[in-house]
Amino acid sequence: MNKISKKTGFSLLEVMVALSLLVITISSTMALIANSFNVVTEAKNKIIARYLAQEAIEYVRKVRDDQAYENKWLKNPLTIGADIGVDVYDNVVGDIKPCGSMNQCILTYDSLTGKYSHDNSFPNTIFTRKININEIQSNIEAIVTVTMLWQHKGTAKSFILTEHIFNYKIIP
Amino acid sequence: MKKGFTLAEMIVALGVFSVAITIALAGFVNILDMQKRADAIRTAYDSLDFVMEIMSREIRTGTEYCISSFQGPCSPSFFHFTPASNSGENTAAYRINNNRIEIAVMPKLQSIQASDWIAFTPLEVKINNLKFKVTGNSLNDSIQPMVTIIIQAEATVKQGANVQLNLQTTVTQREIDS
Repeated sequence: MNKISKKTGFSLLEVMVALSLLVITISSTMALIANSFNVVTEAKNKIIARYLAQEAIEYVRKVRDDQAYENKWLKNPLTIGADIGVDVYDNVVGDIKPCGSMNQCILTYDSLTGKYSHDNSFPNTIFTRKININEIQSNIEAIVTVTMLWQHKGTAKSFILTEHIFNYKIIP
Repeated sequence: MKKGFTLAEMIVALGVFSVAITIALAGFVNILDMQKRADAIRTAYDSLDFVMEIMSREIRTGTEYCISSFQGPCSPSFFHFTPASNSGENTAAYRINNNRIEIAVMPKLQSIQASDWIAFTPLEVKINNLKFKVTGNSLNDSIQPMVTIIIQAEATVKQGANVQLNLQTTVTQREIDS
């Protein structure tokens, strides 16, 4: 029986090295796949955030155009220089309000109608949308910044869209 | 003296090997499934993103939202307008039908025929809700026309549960309404 020890075979060390190599290969592949899955979810959030940000820009443009019909500019009804929110779907005139009275600018989702809004009778989404309007030239040019903020797997994500809008009714 | 393995050794070795290979294979099959799933979801997102992008661009640059008397009134899931292409001589319309978004383009002075509708989203994307909310579209009302588009969709994926994607965006007409 003591001939067994003379047989060629694998030592414990060799087996350990081989096994650990196998484990590292498999687990890293797994991690890679799981990561690609995360990327897909993140892509989804980015698509949603991009359209919601564009929506806010469009709304400000609409207010600009409505005001221009009456030879007015943005300042009323829009607040300049503060973070504001808007319920575009419900679209009541003067519905652009500071974040404080707009569910802290957190967007809610109504799964029945499919609308995103700041109406806090619906559950919150992961998204926060802040609109900030700053005048560059008084009564002529403003810069609209829409910031989308959300959390993904405990990491803060953001998406910022800016647009310059002009008052085409007042010629300097 | 002995050379080779005993039956017992062979059985044990084969047993260990088959257990190991079963676990490893299950892992790899799982990985393949996840990969296919991720791929299917991404494809669905891409096509939905494309449809939303096309609709919002066409509506934004178009005019005469829900004005044409040939098409009748718009409903939340039926919207027609005059696209900027072809010098504004066409009418384009969107609707939801059989869980797909469909588009129809025809000359301005014709009403839509059933054969005009073309599906716009792939079969793998199930559209549960398409909604257009139109404001300020009546002519000479001093309100800039605006359309909010809502899409509630799910990607039908063979590997595992369907994934929801709910989009909302708004467009205002670029041409200044008189």
